[in-house]
Amino acid sequence: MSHSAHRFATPEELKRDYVIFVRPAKGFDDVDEKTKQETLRKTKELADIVYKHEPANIGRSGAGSTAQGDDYLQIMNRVTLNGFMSVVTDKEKAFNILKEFKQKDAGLSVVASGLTEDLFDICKGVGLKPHTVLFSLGIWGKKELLPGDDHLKITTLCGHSMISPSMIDHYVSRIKKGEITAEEAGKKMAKSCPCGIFNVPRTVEVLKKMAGQ
Amino acid sequence: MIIDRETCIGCGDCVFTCTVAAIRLTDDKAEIDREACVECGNCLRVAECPTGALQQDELTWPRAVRKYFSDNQCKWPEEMRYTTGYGRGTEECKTNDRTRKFRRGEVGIMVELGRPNTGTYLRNAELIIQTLMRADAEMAENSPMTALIGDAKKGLLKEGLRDQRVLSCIVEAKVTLDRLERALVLLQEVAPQLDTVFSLGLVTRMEDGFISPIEPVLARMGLQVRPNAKMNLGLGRPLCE
Repeated sequence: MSHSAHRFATPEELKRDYVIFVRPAKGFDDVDEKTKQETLRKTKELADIVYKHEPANIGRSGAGSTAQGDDYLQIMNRVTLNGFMSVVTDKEKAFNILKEFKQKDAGLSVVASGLTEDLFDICKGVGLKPHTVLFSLGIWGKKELLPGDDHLKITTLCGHSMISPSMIDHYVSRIKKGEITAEEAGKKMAKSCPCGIFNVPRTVEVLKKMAGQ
Repeated sequence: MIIDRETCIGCGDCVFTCTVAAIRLTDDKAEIDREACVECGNCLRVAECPTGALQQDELTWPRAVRKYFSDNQCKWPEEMRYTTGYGRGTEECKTNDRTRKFRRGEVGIMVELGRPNTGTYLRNAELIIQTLMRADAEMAENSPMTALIGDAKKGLLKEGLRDQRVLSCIVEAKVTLDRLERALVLLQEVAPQLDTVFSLGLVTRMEDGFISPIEPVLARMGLQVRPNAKMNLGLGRPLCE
């Protein structure tokens, strides 16, 4: 999920996109059966904190995501040591979740992606110090191959690049014809990104703009 | 992926699901360009082909590598399952507060080829590997891309991989801070030689939480980081200092 550092948008748009995920460490949090069970319990407790704050999406690779309509409890019932991903659309929610994470002190690695300035603010307010940061230096190479900015604002929301420019064009065309709403299209697109990192509200914003709404 | 022309009814519902535009309608039948297909499986999961014409064929080496890199629902073979075992398989900063993969004075270089939206042949990854080796970079251990290197001295991939196409892959390496500028200069030089794009990420331990030690190097080179970033918040226990 390295790509959450490269989500493409203006700083103003990034204010509605904060990714938070919990990641057990291989070779540490899975060393024996007892540790594995502890890891699963802690993962669930941290996910419950996020879910309580009504995230735009929460999910797990291979288990589904709420944005595509999967049931939260079923997602979390899947036994996997991959942690979980989530997205919230405002700074205050991100602050409150990370504040509770700090109080919980579960000991699992927690990663957040978003506006650096805002995340630093949140960390200072909560009393956290970022340990390691992945900074994005943007896109290099044959940039003439890239789709337009509006497309990139949606395609980069999926960490595995499962949402293509042609999928966006397909739904924009259907929205323009009145066959589907932007909200319905966003939910359908979330099906391609099953990890829980896809931000549907932001996608809907872009789809509406592209469809001239 | 393959499409059975006999059973395809040409509804076209799979065309827009393709992540690399490899599916098109020809004579009222869907057709896959097998050279362009990266085996991500998105069409199979999302299109819900009404006749079952869309199928995953059995993949053998080296074509199977396309699927391991591109399909985030497909696990790598056991011996190459380093992190989650899915997708590009890199850990970068995610668990560094536990694993101490990147220490103070070291900078991780994450060259994410084919992202966004262009896909890449693995020959581009080979060029990047060779470039980073010239900067005395240490290739990441426990990384699928590193595991595909056949000749570590020359930075050559294993036979048959160069012309495999994937949705994206990540060349992950690290350098000491004093070698970062050299590595970035070499990446600037090689970038125009690629037939794809890459998203570039730099991983660094922070000083006192909020001071980036790579900032002076980037400033000297006139490079700017994007306004958004990804942070390990240091909540892992025991915390690696």
